[in-house]
Amino acid sequence: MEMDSNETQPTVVVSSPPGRISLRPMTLSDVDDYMVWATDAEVARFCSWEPCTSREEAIKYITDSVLTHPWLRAICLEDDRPIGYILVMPVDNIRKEIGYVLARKYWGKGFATEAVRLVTAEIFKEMPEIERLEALVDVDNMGSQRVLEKVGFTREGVMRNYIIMKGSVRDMVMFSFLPSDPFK
Amino acid sequence: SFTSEEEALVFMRDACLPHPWRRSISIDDRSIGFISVFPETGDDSINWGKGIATRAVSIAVPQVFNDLPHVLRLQAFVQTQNKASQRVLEKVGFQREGLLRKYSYLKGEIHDVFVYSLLLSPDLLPLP
Repeated sequence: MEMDSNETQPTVVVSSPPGRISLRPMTLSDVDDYMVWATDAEVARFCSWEPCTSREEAIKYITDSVLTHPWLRAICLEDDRPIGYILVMPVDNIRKEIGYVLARKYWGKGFATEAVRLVTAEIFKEMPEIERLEALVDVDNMGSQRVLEKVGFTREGVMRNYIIMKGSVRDMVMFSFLPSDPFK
Repeated sequence: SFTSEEEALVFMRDACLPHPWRRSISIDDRSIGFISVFPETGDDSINWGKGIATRAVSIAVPQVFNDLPHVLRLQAFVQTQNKASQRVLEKVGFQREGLLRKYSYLKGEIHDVFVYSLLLSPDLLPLP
């Protein structure tokens, strides 16, 4: 649960080949780009949150939940405008969980795959005590499962009736990546 | 493990009695072990003794679902080398869902574990 106390300036991570995506902290000035995906019911479908309905709501959410997050990065194209974000949550002292969201217009182009690959590599460098990075994906969310498989995550199994999401009981697929695993 | 009766009594007072669901496994009304069910995820769900574990688990399961009406899923995490424990769960009707690598941190060591689950429906209650 601890933030890295030496991290005063979160680094900008650029992908290779250069120019595809970069990762940087979110700011309040990203609110309009944030609303593009946050208001989209298709994007929200497998997320724990309901679509955003106003700019005020978006500003509040960014202030309360996004800017305060221990590890969250905007996924940006060349113009430095976010098309989504990726985050890492602590599970316990040795385990982290990864999550990501992307505006629908940018689905199917490999951007999420690239972001996950970058963050996975980065996280193990930043936090060498981490033994396992995991992801839980709704059993019906094929796109997100493909992202993790393309990066090289191991699909470990389906956890039945694992979680209640927006009032429904859902099966979730568990994926993991260990520091010793190879990237695809 | 405990080295004195006093330590054991403290454990019983502080951990067992307030526990959300823990029952003594008894023979002739004397306790020989315990079986516990934790809410939420994370900890090992079931401890057992030799030879009677299957019986204890199969008695406990319907009681748990009855006592805790909001529970839909019971899960257990078993280390990969613990074949006896896996057999107990399988005999009771738990389904093995997968191998979780480096999932469990116990006594300073990190282990791979199998995750098993038993669902109120359809595992315990047959579908109409």
